[in-house]
Amino acid sequence: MAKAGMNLKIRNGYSQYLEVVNGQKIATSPITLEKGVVNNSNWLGAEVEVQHSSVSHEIYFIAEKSIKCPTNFKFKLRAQHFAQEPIFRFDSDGATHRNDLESIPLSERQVTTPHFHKFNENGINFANKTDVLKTTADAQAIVMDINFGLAHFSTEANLQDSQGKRPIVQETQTDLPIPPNQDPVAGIKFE
Amino acid sequence: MKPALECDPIIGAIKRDFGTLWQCRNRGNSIEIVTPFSTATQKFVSVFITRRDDSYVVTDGGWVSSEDQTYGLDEVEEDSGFDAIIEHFCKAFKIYSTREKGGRFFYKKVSDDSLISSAVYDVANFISSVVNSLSIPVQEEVKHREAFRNDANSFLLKQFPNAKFGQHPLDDYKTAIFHAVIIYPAQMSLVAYVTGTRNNYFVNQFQRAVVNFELAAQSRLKAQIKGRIAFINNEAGGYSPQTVNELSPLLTKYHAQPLQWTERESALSVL
Repeated sequence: MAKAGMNLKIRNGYSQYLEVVNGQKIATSPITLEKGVVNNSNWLGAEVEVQHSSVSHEIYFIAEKSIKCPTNFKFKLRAQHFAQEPIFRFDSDGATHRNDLESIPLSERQVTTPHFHKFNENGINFANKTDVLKTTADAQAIVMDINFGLAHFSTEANLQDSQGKRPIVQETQTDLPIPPNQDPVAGIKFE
Repeated sequence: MKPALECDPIIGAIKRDFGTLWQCRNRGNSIEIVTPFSTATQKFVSVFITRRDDSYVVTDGGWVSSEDQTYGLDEVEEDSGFDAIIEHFCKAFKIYSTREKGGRFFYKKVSDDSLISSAVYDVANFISSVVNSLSIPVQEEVKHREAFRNDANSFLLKQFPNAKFGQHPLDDYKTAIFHAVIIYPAQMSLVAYVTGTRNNYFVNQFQRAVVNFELAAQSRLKAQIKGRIAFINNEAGGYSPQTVNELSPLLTKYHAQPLQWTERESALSVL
């Protein structure tokens, strides 16, 4: 029986799902972060179609970055033939995920950011950390620089730019960049 | 007589396993405590501890009401009872709030080290309660919209194999999104879906459709738009003829045609 939160298309076509995520992909145009792409004025975004070496369905790569908190960014792969929601995702910051998997120890159900989200063979979305993200210093370097983050995502998602190189995020925003500070209450007064 | 179950090994294992769910990390001059409290939206609650003068402040860090949907409440609409829920749980856990720098921060202040745990307990319980309460209508609504979207997508795809879904087709108004776009060699047709389990959700979707068609009417691509339709789900719980009568003239003002879902076949000649 299908459980709540289970994606049947992914479960039934799991090898095709893995092919979409793991197969070689090329971002067909530059990844330029702009306002107006994300439906939230506090975020910059870019959406680029990717060409897959063996899958003909439409696949998009999406990058999003918080303007207020530049260490908060996301990378996503969207393939609508599988799901409306992203089928593979990286979150640099934000809330800790609770994995809805009953057969693993309690401590493993809690996955702090930065982390990846993908689907397992049962079509359940779950969060996990790669070995790189489990290393505190590497994880911190990735969070502090969106292009380090993209390099890691590109390795995991087998993504290249049209020159066959590591993709890079560019920004058109001309405002003064906000220095990275992960403290969400910096400067807030509490009476 | 020896009891059938011993407390010590079991409570020991539970305490140890729950204990691993408390995590801490530095965030500038504050620290984030990831707690074992969790939400129905598959998140663990975090609280932030910071120093102000001689006190410790334990706060949600602005995450509960953030537009970034940190706790996964991505479809919370205005009028979803947010304010009443917040007020209720602020009272229940004696939580204060302040609005600053475009955010709202819920917090508790303590001056004595020995009371930090107590404040963490209250703030974490508050966050979990609020998020869980807000997630009930949201989950139901999300499932409803998904079901309608699937029905409508399948209907269109059968007639128009060149239909694409969830698109931003206007390059000069990238925020405009349509549930479906039928692509022709030099033209396109735009379709918005209007549904909702409750009337406020239904109204909200209707208004979004109006705004998206208004943007389409202003777009430099307007001459390439062939048909414009809003599918009105007249079988939805939130449907009301009064809402449709009130808002339909706005759709027609921007050249879009409202069409009842039960009469969907007539869309084919327009698209």
